Parts: sequence; C-alpha cells; structure tokens
Amino acid sequence: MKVFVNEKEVSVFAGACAKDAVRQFLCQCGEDAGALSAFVIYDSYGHEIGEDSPLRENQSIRIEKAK
Amino acid sequence: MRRIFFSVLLVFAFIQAQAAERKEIHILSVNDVHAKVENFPQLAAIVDSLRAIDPQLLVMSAGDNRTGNPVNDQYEPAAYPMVALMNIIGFDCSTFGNHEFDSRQAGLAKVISLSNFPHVCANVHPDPSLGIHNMPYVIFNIDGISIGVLGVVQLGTRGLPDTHPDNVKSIRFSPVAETIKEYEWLAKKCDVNILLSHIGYEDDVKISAQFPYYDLIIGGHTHTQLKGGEVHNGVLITQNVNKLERVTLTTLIVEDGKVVGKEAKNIEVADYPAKNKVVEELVRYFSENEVFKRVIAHADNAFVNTEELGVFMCDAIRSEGDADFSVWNVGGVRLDSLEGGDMTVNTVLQLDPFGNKCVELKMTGAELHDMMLSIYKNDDKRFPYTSSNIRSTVYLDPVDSSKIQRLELRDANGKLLKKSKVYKVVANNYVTSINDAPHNDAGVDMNRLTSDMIISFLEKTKKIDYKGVTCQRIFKAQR
Repeated sequence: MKVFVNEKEVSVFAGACAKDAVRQFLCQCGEDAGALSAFVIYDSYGHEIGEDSPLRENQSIRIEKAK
Repeated sequence: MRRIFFSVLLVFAFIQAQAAERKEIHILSVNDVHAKVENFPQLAAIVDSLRAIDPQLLVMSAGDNRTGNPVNDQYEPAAYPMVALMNIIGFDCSTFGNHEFDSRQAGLAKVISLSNFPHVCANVHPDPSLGIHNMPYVIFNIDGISIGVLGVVQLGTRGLPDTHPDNVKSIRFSPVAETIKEYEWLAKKCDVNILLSHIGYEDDVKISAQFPYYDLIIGGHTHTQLKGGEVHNGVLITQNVNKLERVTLTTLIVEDGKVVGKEAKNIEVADYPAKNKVVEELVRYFSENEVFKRVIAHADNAFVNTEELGVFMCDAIRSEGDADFSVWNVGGVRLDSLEGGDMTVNTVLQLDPFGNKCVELKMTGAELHDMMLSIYKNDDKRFPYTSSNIRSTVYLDPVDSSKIQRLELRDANGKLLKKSKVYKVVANNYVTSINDAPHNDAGVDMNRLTSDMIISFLEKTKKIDYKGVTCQRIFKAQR
C-alpha cells in the first residue's frame, strides 16, 4: 500500500504500521533504518502517534528528530 | 400572610437549588494497552487515588487490551493476565479492539466469561454457538444520571477487523456508522452518551460530525496522542498512544440531565510515583509463569552459530506460511548459539523477541535477488539468512570487500532461481521494511507473529537438527 512519510511516497505491505513506513523512508533516504527510536512520528493532524500505529492507504505521516 | 410568602420563597429556593444541582461524572480511560502489564501497578494506584475522591469513577478501555506481550499472550488461558489485572482494578467496561480477536473465537469467549466487566461492541454479531457474549451497550446510573456507553470496533477493507480471517469465522460484522445509527434511541434514553470506539482518530472525528449528540468518544486503534481531548462538532474525543504510557481522566459536568461542560486531561502512568503493591505482586506472578518453560520440541544437536539458527527460523516460517522461500535479517536472530536438548516457549521468545509480524509477498527471482542485496546494504552489511532450500553464493568486490560484486541464488537442486518466475516469499516485517529495491508486490500482513509461527512449527515437528546446515557461501571475487 502507498503511504507518505514527510511527503515522500513509500510502499509498504498491507497491514503495515508507522514504524514499517518510517524504516522504508529512512532506507530510501540513505539513512540508518535502525535509528527509528530517534524520531517522533506524527499523523497529518500533528498528533504524535505510536510506532505501532496501523496505517491506511494514502495516509500521511511526518517524522521529526526527538528532542 | 408574611409567613406564607416566606414559606413560598423557601420552597422556590429549594426547587431552584435542586434544578441547578450540578454533578460531575469522572471517567478514566485507557486504549491499546497491548498487555503492558508492567504499568498496571501504577494504573491501579492512579485508580485508587481517584476513587478516594470519587468512588463512582468509571474506568473504561477502548480495546486492544491484548497482543504485544508474551507474558499475557502465551498464558493459558490466553490473555488471562490482562483479564485478572483489569478485574482487580475494577474496570467497568471495555470494547473490542481488532486484537481482541487474536484470542480466536474460543479464546475470546473465555476472556469475556472470566471478565468481571462487560465487553460492549454493537457491530460484532457472533454466532450463538461460539459463546461470545458481548453486549452492544451498557447503561450506568450514577445518582440518577443515566450514562449510555455504546461500543464499536474498526473494520478493514474486507469488512473485518484487522486480524487473521480464521479468527473471525462465524462472526458477522456490521458497518460502524450504520450500527451507531441503529442505536440513536439509546442517546434519547440516556442523559450522557459515550461512544467507546476502536475505529481510529480520523473516523472518530467523522462520527462526531454524523452523530454530534455524543458527549464523549473514547477512542483507540490509531495510538493517537491527544493532549487531554479535542472537541469536534461539540463532541469531546480522547485517545492516547499505546502501551499504557498515559491514561485520560475525563470530567463531564451534568446539570438538569444534560452535559453542560466537559474536559479531559492526561495522566502519565509509567512515571507515576505510587504503585499498588497487590497488583505489583500479581504482575510478578504472571511474569514468572511456568508456561514459558513448556517444552515444545527437542534439538538433537546444538546450534553453534547464528546461521544455523537463522536457517531454522526461516524454515519454520516457510513451513507455517506454506511459502516457497523465506528470509531473515541477521540482527533478528537474537542468540549466538543454542545448546541441544529441550526447546521451550522461552527459547523461541529469546530467539525472536521483537513481536514481529510475518509478511507474505509474491516476488520474482530477480526481485528476491535484489531484495537480498538491499537487506545487505541496509542491515549493516550483513547478508540475510534464507530457508534451507536456497543457497546464496556471494562474491565480494576484490577491492572493496564491503560491496557485493555478484550474487547467485540457487534452489535445492543447485539450479539458479528463474528471474521471471514468481515465488511466494515470507519474511518478518523488519526485513520487508528495509527492502528498498523495486518490487511489484508490497506484500500483506499474514496476521501472525513470527515467534508464534516458530512455536507452532516446533510443536508439529517435535525434533530438529540443524547441525552443519548452511544457506550461504561468501567469497572474495577474483580481480
């Protein structure tokens, strides 16, 4: 399924969670996929969501480095 | 005359006072706890403190109480620790999350039967033969104020909750909005109306627009951290991230049978300075449960390295997933070696502790080849393990040995995998998420944990021997 991380389209398996999409995004950006815990994940409304938050087709999430 | 006048004034003042009587209803809610039993001593202390102020505090869960902790999920009966903990705290009700169905039909019936609180979910209609006794709603009465609580669970694209389809056979599900509409009469009957919802934040907002007569939607499923709560269309919506990091205390102010004010605030759980000692002891009891020592198979020989373990884990999920091939990342094999002899549930959970899902993909030989290279690139230059029916021959660049010059994948007969042939491949979700090589099929969640699949494989196989088994040969290529 197609989702968006920081406005970049990534493809993840149907039933994927936020962490799956973030890892795929990090790999595509040449970053370390293991650095997931260094980021905070937000939904399109600006709410923090858990890394196990289930995703839907075309959902947009945003990640920022944790403070 | 004056006496009569003052008497009338007194009576009138009394009636006014009664009419203006305000009552606060307090509700503590959790969502997507996913069996984070370690935080229950703190949760119990929070509830104790709140009940000292308001003995009529209502405690509710918006579902997904289980799945995420083997202490709970592997217990016999499954998910009982969470039931026991929620009972001892005195939960008033819970709705179903999609993961409640991970207990399977008989397991869910058992969970409900052991619970001291009702499970309210109006869009779930189990066949009576299953013995699953959920209620569509419950009405609480606090000092003459009626509080109606209707429950609903999310449905995915197939019209089923996100769980393995086998788990919901003989259970019918009705669309959420249609179901809520059927219960409009409940809203007219009750002074306060709460939707206990496991449909996700976005859908909660949509529901608030369609049914603005709800005073409160206690939400779950999307693990959305709301600061206290948000008001949409006059409806207060609450939700927290998963694993009991926080709970929400909602106060509804009721006057003349109507909610005239509402507010919600978060309470941090993990760092709460008090713990209920009885609950703490109960958590310790469950954590030390003998179920993890259950012997499920016998290894005739020791596993002397991670490759032997990795191939075994791949074979397990390949068998359980009925796949052609399987792949496992090196970092996902958490033991360096394993002594021969009895293999227990605990052995598997040490080997595969992450609670990873198994993903099924249709991949061509070429895509599988590229996926292996991608995993190598993205997993600290560690070449992944495969099921024993593939042999990977890796030629490293003679100048830069961290680069792979060439990779050959051969089947059990020594033949190169056909580049254009489509194979069924299974892997854990970490592997699939770090594969950034192009591929046609993004895959689908099998709704099974890889650790559960390994346990199931061992229970069926009983004896295993991976002495000397290898899946890869790595050479430095000639210049």
